[in-house]
Amino acid sequence: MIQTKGLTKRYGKTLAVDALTITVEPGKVTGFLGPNGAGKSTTMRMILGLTHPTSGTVKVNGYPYAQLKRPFQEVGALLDAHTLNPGRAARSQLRALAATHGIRDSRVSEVIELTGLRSVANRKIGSFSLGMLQRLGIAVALLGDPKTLVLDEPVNGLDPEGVRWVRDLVKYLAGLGKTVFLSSHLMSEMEQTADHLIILGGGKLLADVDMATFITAASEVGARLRSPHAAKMAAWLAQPGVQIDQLAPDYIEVRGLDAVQLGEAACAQGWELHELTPLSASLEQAYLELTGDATEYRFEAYTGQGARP
Amino acid sequence: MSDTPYKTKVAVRNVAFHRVLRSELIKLFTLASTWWLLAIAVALTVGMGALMGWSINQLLTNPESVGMPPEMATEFDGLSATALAASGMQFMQLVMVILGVLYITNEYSTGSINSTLIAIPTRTVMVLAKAVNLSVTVFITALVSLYAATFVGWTFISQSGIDDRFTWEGLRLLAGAALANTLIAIFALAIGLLLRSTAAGIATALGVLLVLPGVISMLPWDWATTLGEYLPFAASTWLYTFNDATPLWHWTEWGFLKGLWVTGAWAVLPLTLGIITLKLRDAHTGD
Repeated sequence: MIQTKGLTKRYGKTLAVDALTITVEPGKVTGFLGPNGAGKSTTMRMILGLTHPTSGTVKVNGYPYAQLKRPFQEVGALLDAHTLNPGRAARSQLRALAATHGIRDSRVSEVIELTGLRSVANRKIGSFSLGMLQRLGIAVALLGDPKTLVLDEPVNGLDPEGVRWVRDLVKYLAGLGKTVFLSSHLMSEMEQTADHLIILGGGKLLADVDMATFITAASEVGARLRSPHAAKMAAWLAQPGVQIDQLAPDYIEVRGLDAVQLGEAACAQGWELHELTPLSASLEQAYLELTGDATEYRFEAYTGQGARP
Repeated sequence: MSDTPYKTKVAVRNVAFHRVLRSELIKLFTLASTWWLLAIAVALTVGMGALMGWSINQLLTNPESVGMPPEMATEFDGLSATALAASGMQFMQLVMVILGVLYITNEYSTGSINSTLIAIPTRTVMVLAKAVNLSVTVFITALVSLYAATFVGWTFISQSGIDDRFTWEGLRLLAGAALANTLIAIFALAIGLLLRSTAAGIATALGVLLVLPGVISMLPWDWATTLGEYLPFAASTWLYTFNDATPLWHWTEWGFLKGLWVTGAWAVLPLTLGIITLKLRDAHTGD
């Protein structure tokens, strides 16, 4: 469990994180979203005690990070890929980190196996691909079998197989009752992985919401129709409150009527249908609608002050 | 992908000094740069022992051949084996300064400081562990290579010199030289910790050790001369200067004890300052 209260970080005149109050709950995967510069990495660094908050508090499993006696047992962290020395062999790096917590070499071998790094474990980290670096970072995070995982862009650079492995792993860990907090820019991947979302924009909390609720709220009533009679149908359906877009000669998108109403209408008129697809929002669409507003807001704020180009 | 089942119930213990000490020792000796620097330090020390032994031998047996006035020969007549070895130590010190700076700045240049401080959130213990590992490594390397240099040097000066390789005085001199080297390496570690940059760290540490004495010596005032005596390089030479004119245990007159506390202060004060700033500042100024 991760709890922040009024968490704020200011760099000079820039507010990187602005009075953030969130709770990341155990037993589910919480996605952390926001445009570049929204404050995600800064928030994660404050959770891990690397960056000191300007004001506010952050606790992991009930304690400030710096007070944890066995950090690896409480939190496993993956930050951006460059947090390990490229001149050192992967196994040596893992052994050195494990030694701080008296974790045995047998556990080091276990996480190497688990992340599929056995064949490259004795190679220098500098020779690793981005995908291998991510696996090594996850190996570091799992060393102490932590109760909470903080993963910044864990699937960045992974091949499709690796992406799927991370998805299965974090879901499995959440199923064990662990807290999983991960950021990603891959919306389709996040949609499949996360149960809950925390979305930042300009350092502020924009949304703290259940995944299904968030997507449903952004969905509109409507459907897409494919029919040889598309043009005739468009004319017939036209009425106030209904918006029709002709996507192709035989393909239209209708908003304001749902798929059931459209199917009944087509049946009643005797029009042959080749496709009837209800419109449903994706996470990407819902996210862009939300953060689009935030970006606009920030733009106005900046032009108002006249401080930024 | 791996089919290895995810295991739980991992034995995890409190982060404690002796565990961090081991972690930092693994980190020190799993980098190729450490082995290179130590090998260079040994080679330079032993090589300087041979070179100086050879040139003193030439000076004593055939002064004209090395372009020296014969009077100078008397200065080196009766030079002891250990004093010969210690006099070639400056080159090793430069290498140890680089080792000390790198031990901390490579954490910042590679970003590995992040994973280090995630593992050791109290931070102080990390610096103390590095200081202990560096001290032991530098002291042992310096002592062994200086001792090796006495044997190489002796082969050249056995006709004129004093063999003190197996005496208390001789071993004391070598241990003092190794201690001087160690304290200066800690000073370098502290400078690296404060500046967080390899280039700036090495430049500053070598500047204080080598350039600053020259600059201060050109100032016309008396206090500048006094100040020059307190600079780390000058002060550290008292740790391996033993003669009848030098008091051994005197706080305020230059000798072993005053050399120890002045050089020690150059190591301990910047290190303390470094620990305080490490705790106050964010882990990494980048990103």
